[in-house]
Amino acid sequence: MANTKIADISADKFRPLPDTEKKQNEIVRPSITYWQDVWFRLKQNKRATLGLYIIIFLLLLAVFGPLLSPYSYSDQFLDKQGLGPSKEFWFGTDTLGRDIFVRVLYGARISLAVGFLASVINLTIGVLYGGISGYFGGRVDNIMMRIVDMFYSIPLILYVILLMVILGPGLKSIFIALGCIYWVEMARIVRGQVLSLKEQEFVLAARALGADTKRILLRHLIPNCMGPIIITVTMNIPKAIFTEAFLSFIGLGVSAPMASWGMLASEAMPAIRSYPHILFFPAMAISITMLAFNFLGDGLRDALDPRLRK
Amino acid sequence: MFKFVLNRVFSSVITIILIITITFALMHSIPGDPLTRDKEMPEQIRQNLMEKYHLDEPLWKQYFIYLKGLATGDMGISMKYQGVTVNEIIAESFPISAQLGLVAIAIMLLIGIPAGIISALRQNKWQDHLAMFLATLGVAIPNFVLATLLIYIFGVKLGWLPTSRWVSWKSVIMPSIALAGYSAAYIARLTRSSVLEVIQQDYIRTAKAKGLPERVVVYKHALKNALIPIVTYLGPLTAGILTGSFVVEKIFAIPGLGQYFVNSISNRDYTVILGVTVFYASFLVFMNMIVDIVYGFIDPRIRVGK
Repeated sequence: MANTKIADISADKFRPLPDTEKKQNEIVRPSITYWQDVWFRLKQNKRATLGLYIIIFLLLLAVFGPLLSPYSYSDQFLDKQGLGPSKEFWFGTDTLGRDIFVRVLYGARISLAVGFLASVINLTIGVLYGGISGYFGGRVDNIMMRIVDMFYSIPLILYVILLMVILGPGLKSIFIALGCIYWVEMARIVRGQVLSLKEQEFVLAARALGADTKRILLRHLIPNCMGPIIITVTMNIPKAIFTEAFLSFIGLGVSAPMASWGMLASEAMPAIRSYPHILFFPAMAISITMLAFNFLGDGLRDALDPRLRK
Repeated sequence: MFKFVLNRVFSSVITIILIITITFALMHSIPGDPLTRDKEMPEQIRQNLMEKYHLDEPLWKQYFIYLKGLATGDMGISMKYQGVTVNEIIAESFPISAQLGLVAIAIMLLIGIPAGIISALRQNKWQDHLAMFLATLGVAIPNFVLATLLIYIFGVKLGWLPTSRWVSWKSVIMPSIALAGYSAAYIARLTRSSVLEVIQQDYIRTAKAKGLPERVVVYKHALKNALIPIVTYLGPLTAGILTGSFVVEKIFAIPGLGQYFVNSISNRDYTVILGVTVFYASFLVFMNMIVDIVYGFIDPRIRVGK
């Protein structure tokens, strides 16, 4: 038997494979791109999805919520001061008889606007500054990074406070102060990424094909840093929201009767003995928002990190 | 190593000088001058005061006068509190803030590091889940919310602890916990991931294969390396305590430097704002420098300034 030759096997022992067998070798699943994969893995992460849903919910509430409410954030009901939560006032009223639910909703607007501003600043100034610094390297990089280091060596909030002292309190000042400072961290991260990416072959290839600096930076280098950029933005939004709340809490933020979460918490302080609910709702709102962004940020970091791919 | 230290000291000094310059420029770009009051003061008094504070000199001269003052340890006089120098304010209130800060650091290290170690060693068990749940909360809850919650629970409802002021050892407890919360949570997360990384390494397997008891492997071999990353966090940690002190000292009415700073902001007391900012900045840059140098010593793989 061992010596049987192929030729000895009669032809009728062979038969063609049925079509179903052939299909097994085909690639059934369509290949997915990097971003599809990221999205898939983000959806697998329950905490991150929860965070994302909470953020979307907050956005909807902040945009449409105040429109649906019968009261404005500054309406006072002098006969209904310091009431607990009820059907009429969902979160109760504060010591001036204002509806806390509406005020918290307006606070969400301010906080989310601040978060939005921070992400825009990060994505424009931060990314470009870091990209330019990393790409040109040498003396340009040295000077640009010394400037960033100088900002970075003391807490950004100190600069924001200094700027607020000069600009005076108010929402516009917060925007300007945050805008001047909050790109620094992003610049550092993008610069580090670009520094290592620019030595790779695809950049050389692009340059050999005659791409100019602007094109290499915007089309080749920055899209390749997208992972860390997204993570940094998601982590910086809660920081900016916290900064606004912090400033409003110490009396440097928005001015009354405007309602920001930090301001609401600060207003609730004197009455904490008698009306703890005034503090409870804004505090919950801040904490939930911070949690949601932290969850999403952690999830994104896991989803975007190629080392965690299976 | 000597060159590295020298380099680090040099760049710190440059940074501090630059920060002083920026702060000075910002403070002097405010419209009006520090003597602007609601009530108009007589021209002669105004003239004399301008002369006294060198406000009549050109800006660059004022800058050098200020630098010269700083070099001799003189930060000027408060514009709000009559006859009190900025140095006196710092000398009087910084020790209180420092005490509070040190207690907070002790709390966060004593809670954060053990929590991180336990959750790494019991990975995916309930201890881990509990510790990480608390750590996530700790990172998310702002310090002023934590402080007010503590006041409400332990000060108002239970009445165990004083809600404000700086009188006995009891008044240290709540502010230092409020100050430590965020960093303790952060340290716990940092320690956990660092310990997890270290216990997967070959030398730990070797130590276990030698038959060393678990306790020795963890405490003698693993922790030594796992705790190195914590050292890098000491810089941001100091910064966090410092900014946290603004809010916490205000809430608990503690006469520390943080509260002075916040009050001087609302009073527009420019010399105090300028002085305290410069003091804070120098302090932090100095701390960062120490951390970098210490890090270079304990982990020879990293020489930051190379």
